[in-house]
Amino acid sequence: MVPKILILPDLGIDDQPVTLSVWLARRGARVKEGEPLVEVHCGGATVDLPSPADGLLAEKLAREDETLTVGQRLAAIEEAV
Amino acid sequence: MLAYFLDRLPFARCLELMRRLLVEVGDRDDGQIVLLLGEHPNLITIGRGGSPGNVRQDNSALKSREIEAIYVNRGGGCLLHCPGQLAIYPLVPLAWHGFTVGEFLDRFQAGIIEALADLNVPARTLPGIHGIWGRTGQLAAVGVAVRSWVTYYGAYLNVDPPLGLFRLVDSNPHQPSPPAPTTPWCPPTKLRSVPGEGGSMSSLMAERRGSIKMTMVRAALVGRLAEAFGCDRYHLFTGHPLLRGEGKKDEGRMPKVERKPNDE
Repeated sequence: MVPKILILPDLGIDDQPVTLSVWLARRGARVKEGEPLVEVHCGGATVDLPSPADGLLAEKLAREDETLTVGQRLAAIEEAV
Repeated sequence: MLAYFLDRLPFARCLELMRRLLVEVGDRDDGQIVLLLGEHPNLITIGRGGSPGNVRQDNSALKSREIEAIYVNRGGGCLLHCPGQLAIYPLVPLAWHGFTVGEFLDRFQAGIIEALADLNVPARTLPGIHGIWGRTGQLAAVGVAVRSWVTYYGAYLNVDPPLGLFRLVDSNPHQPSPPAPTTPWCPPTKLRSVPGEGGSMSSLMAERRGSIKMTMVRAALVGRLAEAFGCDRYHLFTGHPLLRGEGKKDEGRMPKVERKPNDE
């Protein structure tokens, strides 16, 4: 089964960097679609990014405090068996 | 838009209210916006862009002033809150309105700037940093959070706080320079360049060199923020039903103003 990938969307803030501030779920955790997975920080805003699917948080593809780019792959969600 | 005047409210209680309203706003399918306006007792909050190093006093000094410092999950840095500072918390369902986070911030700041212009206080944003500045210094700090694509937290507008308290924190340790007007959503006439800026906090009272009533500021903000977020109509309430027993006066739903129909 192909994992679903959480991607950093365009937040519409062009003049300030986006960083990954904190993971909100641990690797291997069972998550639901829409459940906050990771918080990113950009200037005066933080944004909780929701899981794109039900399943297991199989892989974290970025580190806390890492500077991110729009479209970057952040997490892989695998279907729970 | 529903606007609630909360008077003075402990920060933790207000945050709890916002978290409950987040769910309500997110569950609706009509794009309803909720705006909370109130003041907090003395407190320091450290946002994701701040650090304990931005607090200029040690714990014992803060304790002697009965000021607590807490971490919060909003954007922005280390901020001091106190009576005389108006907390402005819009809960906006971004997806329903088709706003990105950046567009929401632009509209939010532009609405505040328009309200300040109504109060004869010229103000502007600076490039590369969120917040609002006047001739005498920073007038409002901005720090929001987004969950399930609904905004919470917001901005803190210094109306007539004791400015000496702001020396306790460094709110903009990395403020870029030089400043320049950057809010294209505002009419250019409202964005005329104003001399002076800097990291120091100022207030509407300092800008006007005279007293200003919190009620005037709240009224100007509600109208301008409704416009900024594309609302044709708004309702004003004193207190909030979920805060029964918290306010000093009535806590019921008391609609005061209604404008054009057919708005969310």
